[in-house]
Amino acid sequence: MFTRQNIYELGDDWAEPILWYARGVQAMKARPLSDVTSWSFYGAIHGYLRWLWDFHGITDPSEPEPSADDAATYVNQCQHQTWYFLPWHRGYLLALERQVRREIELLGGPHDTWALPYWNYFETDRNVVPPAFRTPDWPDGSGDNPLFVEQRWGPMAIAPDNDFHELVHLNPLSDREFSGPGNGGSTGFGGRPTAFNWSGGDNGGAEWQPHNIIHTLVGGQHPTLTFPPPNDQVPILGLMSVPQTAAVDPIFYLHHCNVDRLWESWNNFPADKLAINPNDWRNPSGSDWGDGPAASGDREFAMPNTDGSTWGFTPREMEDITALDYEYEDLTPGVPVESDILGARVSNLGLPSPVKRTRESDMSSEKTVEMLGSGENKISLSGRARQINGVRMSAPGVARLSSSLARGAARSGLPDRVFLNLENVRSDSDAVLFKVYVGLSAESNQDDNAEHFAGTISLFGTTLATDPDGSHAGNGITHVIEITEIFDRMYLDNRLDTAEINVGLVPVGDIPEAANVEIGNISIYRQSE
Amino acid sequence: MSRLTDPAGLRWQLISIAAILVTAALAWLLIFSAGGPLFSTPVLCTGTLLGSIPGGAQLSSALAWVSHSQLAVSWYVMLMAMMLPVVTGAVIHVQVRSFRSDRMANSFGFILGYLAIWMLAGLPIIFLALFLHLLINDTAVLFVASLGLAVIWQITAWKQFALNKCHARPSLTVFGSQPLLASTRFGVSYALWCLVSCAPLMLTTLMMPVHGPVWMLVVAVWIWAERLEVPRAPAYRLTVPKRAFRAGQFRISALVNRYKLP
Repeated sequence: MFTRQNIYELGDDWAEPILWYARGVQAMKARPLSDVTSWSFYGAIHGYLRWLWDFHGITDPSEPEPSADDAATYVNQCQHQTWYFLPWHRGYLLALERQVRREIELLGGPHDTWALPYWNYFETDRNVVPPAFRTPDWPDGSGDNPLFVEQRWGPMAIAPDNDFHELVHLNPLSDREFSGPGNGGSTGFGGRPTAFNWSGGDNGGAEWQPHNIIHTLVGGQHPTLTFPPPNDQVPILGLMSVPQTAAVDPIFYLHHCNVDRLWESWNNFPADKLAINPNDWRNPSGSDWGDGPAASGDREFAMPNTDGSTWGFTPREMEDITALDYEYEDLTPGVPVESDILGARVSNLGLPSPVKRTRESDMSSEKTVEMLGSGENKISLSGRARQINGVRMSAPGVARLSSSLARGAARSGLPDRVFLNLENVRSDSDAVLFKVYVGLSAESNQDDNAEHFAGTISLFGTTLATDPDGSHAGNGITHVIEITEIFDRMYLDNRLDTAEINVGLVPVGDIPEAANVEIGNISIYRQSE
Repeated sequence: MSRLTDPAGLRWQLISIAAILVTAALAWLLIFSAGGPLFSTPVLCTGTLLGSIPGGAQLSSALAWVSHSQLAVSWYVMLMAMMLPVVTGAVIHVQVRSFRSDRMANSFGFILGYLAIWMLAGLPIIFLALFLHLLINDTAVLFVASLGLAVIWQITAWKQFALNKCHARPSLTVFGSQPLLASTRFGVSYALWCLVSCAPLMLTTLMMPVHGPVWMLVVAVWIWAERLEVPRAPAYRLTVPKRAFRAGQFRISALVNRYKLP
């Protein structure tokens, strides 16, 4: 059994597992893109955009492309805005780990014990890229450290980010469902049902936080330089900021190990966490998820074996990490995660404690998702200035929500949950972050009103989802954020009966005009439990 | 692309989909029934009823022989059968982005806008079909020619461009008198791209010398299947929509494996 360890707990900046990772990466980097066991090919499995690769010097313009067969089987495979996000990345990590292990074996290293370390950025002073990845030199001072990437311009690339805990959290780990009903309501911890989903649609909880935000905080954008025409005026994006270059950065795999660890933690840690429904904290049981995209007539998930043959896998095969022969040193998420949010909530609202359901037949057979409010205009976001947008509320919908908060829903006895939707978000830059506040008055300062903070949005992957020729026809990404707590407070303060609720959008840093950040609409939904 | 089956179950969506599919099924029943020719635009256009018109007759003579209302009704039935099944995803989108009280009205607004464009498009398409029949009077030649034209169109990048546009799911305005307008406008734009994507294929159905309804069914399945394909960059290529077939094949083989005797 291989054990993935916390990179900051290995005892030294260049501890043995890190050193061997670097040597393995170096060996893979020595091979050309057309070799399926090369470092650049592994990056292309996640995402590949040749002009961008040539621009960054990942490839030389004269370097041959991967073969047509290899491209069709492996390239541009990363799964985002889908319930396959977690299992696909687990398989991807396993394949890369096996390849690095093979390189270590060929170099005479500890291949029978080596495992990828994980980067738990939630711990104090560890929200910075680990030291071995920040220096261009090997420990002996020679200067071709393969873990170093010049194109990291986010705040976490150089020093601990002071705003980290304001921007990154683990709230999705409190969501008991892997996949929510969507359609404006919860997308769940793991994401919504889709077929093979290269990009576009609704973010799942774990993908939103911490995954997307970390990508942007590491990759960032160049402070002054912009891309050449026709993308001029868009700042050059760090490798980690864009799905088509992210996996070329060696830190990518440590970040994803942590996301993978959080999935395992969501499933099993702590062992006695409260489950109200039989499916709580469990992965989807149906074959639509378990069989993977082949069930929808799409390409199967496939990775190269170390001998160059193909390893196809399904999400069901990715469920049990013990069967996959690895474990994590520690499953503690990193910041406190409330696993009994519902219990605290009903108590706060003065409702009876939820009854634990023991059979699936006890569960409500359907969840109602209903639009409660909507904005009226498309929103453009740029610069540093805060934008306040009114969302007009539907009185009958709000009355139904109030009723459920007062007495619990008729069917389940539980109060409704509330979700904010930022619909059809499009952008020409992925390295954009902004904070979202709900119920903030136009005069008040958001810094003094933390209770109105709904979350931070990263536009990681949005450029791809904006492409009209892309697999989602340019519909962009819809961000779904739970704002139940804010609405509970408004209800308890008798402020729910309002015709309009303000939603404030606050850029983190400067959003360039050329990024063309556009939000199709802002809407609010209730979801019965 | 979201699947229609949803573990959390949203009954109103399933009811809408069922209503659309039942309507389409009834239209197909009508087309294949004994009185089908009266409701079949291909039959009306390909000469079964026009056969007794003297050679060299003008379009006006043909239209005097086959009534406008009969053509309109047959075209409407044809649209209900062939095109309704491809709008289910867009109708669900309209419902999700509508207030509860507006869901039904907005859905009808969308379908109204969609059908209105297709009904209007029927004028030039049917007149063109009739005109060509009267001009050439050889349905086999006409069918082969129209099929060739449709295949050429299928290969073009413009076809893929239009098909991609059929996957648009825009934000909608939901307040005041605007939601109905917004959903109808969405129906209109959806139909326009649908029309650009499918019109040449639809024209072939009006040229089929025999078994018109069967060819309609083949074309309808093709249109439905290509709508299930994932959007891709426009390019000159012939794309056979195999995704639905592969999904069916996977599910059948999974079913067989599940119940296979030891």
